[in-house]
Amino acid sequence: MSRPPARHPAVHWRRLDDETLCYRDGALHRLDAPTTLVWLLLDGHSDEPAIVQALHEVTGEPVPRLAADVRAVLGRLGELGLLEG
Amino acid sequence: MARQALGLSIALRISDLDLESYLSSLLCDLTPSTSSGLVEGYEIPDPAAERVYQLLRDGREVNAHFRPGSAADALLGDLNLRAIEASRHLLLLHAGACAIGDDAVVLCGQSGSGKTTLTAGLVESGLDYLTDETVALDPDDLTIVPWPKPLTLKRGSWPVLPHLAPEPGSLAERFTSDVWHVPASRIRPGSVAGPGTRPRAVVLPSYTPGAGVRLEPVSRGEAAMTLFEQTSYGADHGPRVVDLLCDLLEPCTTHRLLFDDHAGAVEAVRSLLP
Repeated sequence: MSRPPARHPAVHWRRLDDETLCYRDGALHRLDAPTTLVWLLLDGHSDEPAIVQALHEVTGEPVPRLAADVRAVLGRLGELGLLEG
Repeated sequence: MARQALGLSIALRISDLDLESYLSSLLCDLTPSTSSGLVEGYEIPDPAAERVYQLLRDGREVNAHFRPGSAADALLGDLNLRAIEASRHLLLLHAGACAIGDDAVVLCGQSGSGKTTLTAGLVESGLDYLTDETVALDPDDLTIVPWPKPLTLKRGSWPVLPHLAPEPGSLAERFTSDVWHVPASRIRPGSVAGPGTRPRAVVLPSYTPGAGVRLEPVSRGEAAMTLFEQTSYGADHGPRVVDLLCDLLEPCTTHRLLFDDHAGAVEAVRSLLP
């Protein structure tokens, strides 16, 4: 069973309005507002279904759509090296 | 007399008295040096029979030129680079800036985006000059350290600002080659801003034929990315650069400016400050 997704500890990040700036290894990344919603839920304890459920409660969007979106966002954050593991 | 160029103290020793007079007039907006440390000496010795103008920094050749105007351009270019390098402890943005009172507008973008042309227009419109090239921010309080180098107007700006051309028969006309170097105090006497200003508006200009004047809001996050891309020695600040950019941008309005109408663009940017 895979571990819940978590922010990489080497990432220095800060909210800026409804977006987030993430810095790692000399590179700066900007997370847009929807990605920021996911980013804030990456506490290392909530697994993917829990994140989807939390977003569903906040946004009211359908769970299947949110599940696909969260999967895509996690993939992209992983590619950028912003996630642990 | 030594002058202050950001974190650098400089002194000139130019054998050609006309060239010396020309360069001194261009650097007239730099304050006398306040540093008790090293003074960097620029020298253009007598070209002698070879008619080659050597540019020396602290006795070492930087480069050599067949025309004195090219040597002057090279000196100003090297001075700018060295001033920036000597100020790496500051947050350095490739940007122009002007101010009214304590409130500054920062114009950040790549070369050719129209920063210097807009900066010149803003100074003409009554704003005080901070820089046309590098906005240097004190990381402790995010106030701007003025870098009042002469504005460097490339050929693309000349039709928009023809009145800033070197005066006929002047030393400036004699020594000008590829760019016009214009001290802010020539554009408007007394127009150089002092220390202590803070950014209140950040504009990302882009000279765009056919655009007219389009000033549009952008998110602070988007502005942050552009500022980061235009940072010199940003890596020196490590992760702290994120906090500096956020602290800088939080009190600012942030905009993209597409323009080909110089007067309209100046008015639009001017309206962003109280």
